[in-house]
Amino acid sequence: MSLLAHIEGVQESTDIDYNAKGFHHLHVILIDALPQVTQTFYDSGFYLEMMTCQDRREADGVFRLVYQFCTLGAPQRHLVHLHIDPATEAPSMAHIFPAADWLEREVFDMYGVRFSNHPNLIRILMPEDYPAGAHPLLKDFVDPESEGEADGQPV
Amino acid sequence: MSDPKDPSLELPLVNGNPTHTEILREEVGPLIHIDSLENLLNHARARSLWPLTFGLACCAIEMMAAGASRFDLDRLGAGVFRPSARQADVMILAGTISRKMIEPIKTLWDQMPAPKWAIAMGGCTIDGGPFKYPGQYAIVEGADKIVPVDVYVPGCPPRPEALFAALIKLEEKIKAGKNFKK
Repeated sequence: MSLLAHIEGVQESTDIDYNAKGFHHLHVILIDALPQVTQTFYDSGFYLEMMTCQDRREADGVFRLVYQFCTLGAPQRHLVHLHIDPATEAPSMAHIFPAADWLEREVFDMYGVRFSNHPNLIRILMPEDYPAGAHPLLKDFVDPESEGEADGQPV
Repeated sequence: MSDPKDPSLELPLVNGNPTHTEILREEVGPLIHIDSLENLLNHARARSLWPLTFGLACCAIEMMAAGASRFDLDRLGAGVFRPSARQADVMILAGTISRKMIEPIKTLWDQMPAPKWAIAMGGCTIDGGPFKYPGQYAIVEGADKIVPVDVYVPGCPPRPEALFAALIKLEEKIKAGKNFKK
């Protein structure tokens, strides 16, 4: 897609059949390109529709951050995939899209991915006193507060 | 005056220590306890149960329907939903209890003046309902882990008639007068 073609670090931009997938373009980018990609979307009148994460540590050894940017002018949905190493921090985009503040907090809460330069990176869904390091949507998550069994079955 | 040794008048120990009332009772005997007056009060209490305006999830919609004109909770004297816990008699726990709601629910329960009662409405408040599975991290498996529940109403959600039945059961319980240890 020409929108991001000039940015270094955009590995792959594909046009997608909207009727089949529900979005128009898929971009796979490197972590260094994220600030510039975000700024480009912002300047082009896009908003951040949603953001989430996938735990792909077993398959690829990475977390996949998924951003969806939309615009209502000429309706377009762009999906951005960003693969990060579990040990690294992703750059926060909360200073560009304020909506990212809570979305990034949710990703941190559920997956433990940390965001650099985030204004307030604390849990958002789980209780604040939930044990540190416990992130429920990780594939290997075991609830530290679980009572050990449910319905008579050991967890 | 009733017998000071009557076991039904004994208060539970708080953290293993006798309460003020208990110390007082031991020293001067029960202050005033007239059975017929208690019965009268129980009748009044049972017939004017004021619920707390308080809903947790989808069961609350059914609770609202029970309060609206088609079913009309006021027929039982229980239609006066109080916006303040200080004025409420009964807490209808209507809906899934997420773990983050434990503290607010405890606070509200503590704010309610005794005597007070709790109704667990729906499968979620009975044992976690459809959200209970091994290793779940989000919900409380049963309202009775937080507050003492008097009546359980099964259903997902229960019909308004089921909530009515629960209130009638609670009335029976109050009129029986065995629940005044709080």
